[in-house]
Amino acid sequence: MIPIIEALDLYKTYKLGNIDIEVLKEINVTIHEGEFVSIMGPSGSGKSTLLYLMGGLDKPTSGSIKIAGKELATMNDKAQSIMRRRNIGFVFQFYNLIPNLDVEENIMLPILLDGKKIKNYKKELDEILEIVGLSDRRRHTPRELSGGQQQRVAIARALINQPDIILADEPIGNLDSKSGTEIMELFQRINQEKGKTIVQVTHSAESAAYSRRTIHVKDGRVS
Amino acid sequence: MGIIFKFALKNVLEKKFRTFLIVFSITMSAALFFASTCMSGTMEKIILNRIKSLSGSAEIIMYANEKSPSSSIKSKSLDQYKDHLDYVVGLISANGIYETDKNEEVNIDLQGYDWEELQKMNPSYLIEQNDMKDFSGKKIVLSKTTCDKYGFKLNDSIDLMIGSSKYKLKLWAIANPIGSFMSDGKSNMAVVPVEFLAGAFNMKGSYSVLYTKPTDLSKTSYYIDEISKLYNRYTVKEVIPLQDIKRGTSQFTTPFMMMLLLVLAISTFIIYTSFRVITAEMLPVIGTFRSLGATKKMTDFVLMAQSLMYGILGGLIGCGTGIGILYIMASTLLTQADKAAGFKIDLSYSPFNLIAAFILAILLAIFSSLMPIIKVSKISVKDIVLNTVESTRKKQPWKPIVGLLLLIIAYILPAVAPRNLAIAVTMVSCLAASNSIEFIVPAAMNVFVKVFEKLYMVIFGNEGVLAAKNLRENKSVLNNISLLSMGISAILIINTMSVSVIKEVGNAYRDMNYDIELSIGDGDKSTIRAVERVDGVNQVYGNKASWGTEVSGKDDQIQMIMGVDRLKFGSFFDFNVEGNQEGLFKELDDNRNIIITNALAYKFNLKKDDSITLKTKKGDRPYKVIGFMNTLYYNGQVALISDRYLKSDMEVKSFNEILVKTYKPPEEVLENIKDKFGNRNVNLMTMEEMETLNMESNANLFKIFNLFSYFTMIIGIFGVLNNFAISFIERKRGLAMMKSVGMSKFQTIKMIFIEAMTGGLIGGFVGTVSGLVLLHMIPFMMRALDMDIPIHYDVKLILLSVLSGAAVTLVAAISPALKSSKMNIIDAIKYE
Repeated sequence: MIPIIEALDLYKTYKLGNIDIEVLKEINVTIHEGEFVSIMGPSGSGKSTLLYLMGGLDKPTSGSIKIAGKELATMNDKAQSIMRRRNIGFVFQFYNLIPNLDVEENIMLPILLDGKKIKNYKKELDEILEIVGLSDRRRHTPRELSGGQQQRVAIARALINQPDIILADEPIGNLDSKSGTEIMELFQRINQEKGKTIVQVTHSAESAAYSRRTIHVKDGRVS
Repeated sequence: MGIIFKFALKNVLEKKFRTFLIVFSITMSAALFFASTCMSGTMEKIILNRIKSLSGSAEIIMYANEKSPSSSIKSKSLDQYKDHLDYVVGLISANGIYETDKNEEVNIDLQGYDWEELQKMNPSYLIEQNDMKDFSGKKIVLSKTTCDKYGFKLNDSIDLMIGSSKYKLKLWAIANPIGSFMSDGKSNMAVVPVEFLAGAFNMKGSYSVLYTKPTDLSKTSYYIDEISKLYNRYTVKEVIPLQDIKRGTSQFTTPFMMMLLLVLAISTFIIYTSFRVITAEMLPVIGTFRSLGATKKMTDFVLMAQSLMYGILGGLIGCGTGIGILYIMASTLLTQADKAAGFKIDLSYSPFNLIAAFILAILLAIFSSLMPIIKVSKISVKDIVLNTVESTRKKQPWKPIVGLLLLIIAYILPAVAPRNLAIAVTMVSCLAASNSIEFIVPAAMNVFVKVFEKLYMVIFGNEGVLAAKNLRENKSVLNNISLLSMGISAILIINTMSVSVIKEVGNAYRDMNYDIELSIGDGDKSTIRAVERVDGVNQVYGNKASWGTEVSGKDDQIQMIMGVDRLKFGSFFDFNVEGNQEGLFKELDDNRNIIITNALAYKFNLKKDDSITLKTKKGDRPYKVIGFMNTLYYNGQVALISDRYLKSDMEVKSFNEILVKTYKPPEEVLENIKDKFGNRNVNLMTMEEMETLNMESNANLFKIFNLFSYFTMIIGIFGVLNNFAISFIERKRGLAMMKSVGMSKFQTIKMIFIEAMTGGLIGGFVGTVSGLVLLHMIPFMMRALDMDIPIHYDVKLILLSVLSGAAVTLVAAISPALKSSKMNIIDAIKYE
């Protein structure tokens, strides 16, 4: 199996007023291509921080993170941005859609940011909308969609550039159980059918059950 | 309650920029309101001071006119009112010529007074002096300025040419350059004993002018009537024509008020948008307090108290700032001559003006914040606590339609409004046009985005497309556009008006084809002949006119009716008479016919062949309108009738002005004429001097208007800065999200700047359009104010207005762009 995300001896410290808070300590994690991994742990354990470090949204205090063998610390802002566009798709608990863009436009954002022409991606867009079941909602704005539908748009957006990795931060934390189940089944399908590596942070054992491996984080350490 | 109030106060103090912005806009509104309302009073004071410097406390002035038996007036007849008059002061004025060491001839304006009488009327302040009881014979008092200029010392003997004789006058005292010694910087004022000039000109017991002051000032009008009976062939009138001054100064108040409307519109907008943010921020706290038992009234009161705090603060600072602005305005209005004459700025305001400005500040704060407060008040406690407040905005397709309708109405209404309603209608239209901006902007934005999305794709790449998409329904950008457009409208209006007035004043002077104007009051054919004989004079025309002729049944007057000598008039005046000028002038002689300006045709609603009845000295006389003309001479308040009828109906027999065409430089000829007329009370000016004087007073006025427009723009710019700051906070999450899906720092900055530039360009464009609509209204209002000035559009200025919008937003975007490129994605993204 080929490692796709490697976290080596990772530390992360935040400053809260004058106090240093060690959020992550001595983290060593490897995630392989095609894996569906859940990171679980109590509130404040550092699981989301770990996910963001893996995605290059934040910088570790020390240690290294490699994505597909490339060291994140050596990349400048532009290179990291390109990596986030092409290699990683993010899904957040609160969807984080742009309210004044419609479903299609929200999904096509990574394409736009990558300087590509939208018209060349019509086929991919149709296919993804089909997968997430929103073909009939393509012209709606986020505020015209339910929570579950908004999360599906976020997943579609994460998939449009065909990244190898999808990082999801409590993707069903804000959804009712029915919508939650639908989203998790969608992730499972994407993992199985498309072979995408999925890492999700979750509180729920039910949600973690969809993954093949679970990493437990407690007090900033992998337990 | 106290704790919520404390929270509100903390909110006011913590959000420093927002507090500054709201207080600043209220301050400026109150200050400009105060300055506008006090402007006419202050202008009145300036004019009064100019008059009072010459005549001191005198209330009534008497002098000879063309009907008088002689060019001087005797004071003896006034003896019968001796007990009712504080004083009667006679003045003989004359011109003295002093030859300097460099053989230059200097004019000294000699005022012959009895020193003691003069002190009662207009006290002088002497710096050096001999015993003033001995001020008689060949003695002179000069101002310190004149003495310093020519090196005169007390008791010096000064050679003066007065009339055709030379006199040696002893410098008896040196006076402060105020009152009778006040000079415009060019002239040299002197007082000499009245009996000396009376002897020199053989005028014993006669004067050029008589001044008096009734003991009981409330009876001034009564004494004017009584003395008029006594001196029925002389001019007897108030020294200070208060009514005329008031009429003149009130004309300036309207344009100021119009500008004020724009300032108020911007301030209302800023306070309203700020309060939307304030109420949104305070919503959770209000929910908490309401869930703990606070009533709606209590929480509403807290919000109102916050708005009241802004109002009181803005009102207090506004009153102080208002005095400052009024001072700047008044100092701008003082001409160079006023300043040289040592006029101090004398502001005219009362506690009432200050209270009114303070109340306006409070009302502005309360009414502008009312809507957001009411909106919050209507939200149920449950919705606030559970954060289920509906944030979606309903689509309001009626808004652009209403906006467009308002704009069309604003465009058409002033053109069709009757004259007596023109000012009010224009004001309402101005408000309608300003409000229409807010209704039209969102729709205009959507159209713009659709049109420019493709263009932006080519120019700026995908970031351009994203920026265009972000602009849709972006509240902050929409607010910026509204603010910018109002500010830009104001600047465009003022600058276009200023360009137009300057152009038209120039044009008005081109209507006058002569080089020198000699105002004489009682010129006759011998005067004309005398001027004709002066070296350098080419052609001379004696102009006759009647002023302030009442129009029967209209309760209004024609400012000036000129008598036309058809053989010469056309070569001295070019009033753009419509049709065959020569034929029409000929027709004037045929009957009681009149040619009026289009401004008068509008004022009195007259068409060709209509009849207008003039109140003449011979009673009501009907005149038939035979033609129209276009001129800004006397603001277009001029009519022409035949010379013959001016003489017979209005009894104007002598020439008011002698107009001169020269073949030598006008300045040289002017001096020659001055020499010729010696001691006669004539006022001479070259056309160039008249134009410069007029330009100066117009330029001063427009400096003030410009001040207004720049204040408007400054408030607008602060508003834009605030919107960018609010927008950054609101968009932080969205921007972070974009970064999470791969937007680089460069892309973020590029996108923000494209958005800013586009918003600015649209703001500039909308502002220019609304400015042009407002400008279209101005001539109708000006016509109603008897100032028929056409608007000259300056393409460069219009383009500059559009671009300045973009410049403002680009500068305002720098800080948010830099902040957004540095922000922490996780902090911004993680929490709802």
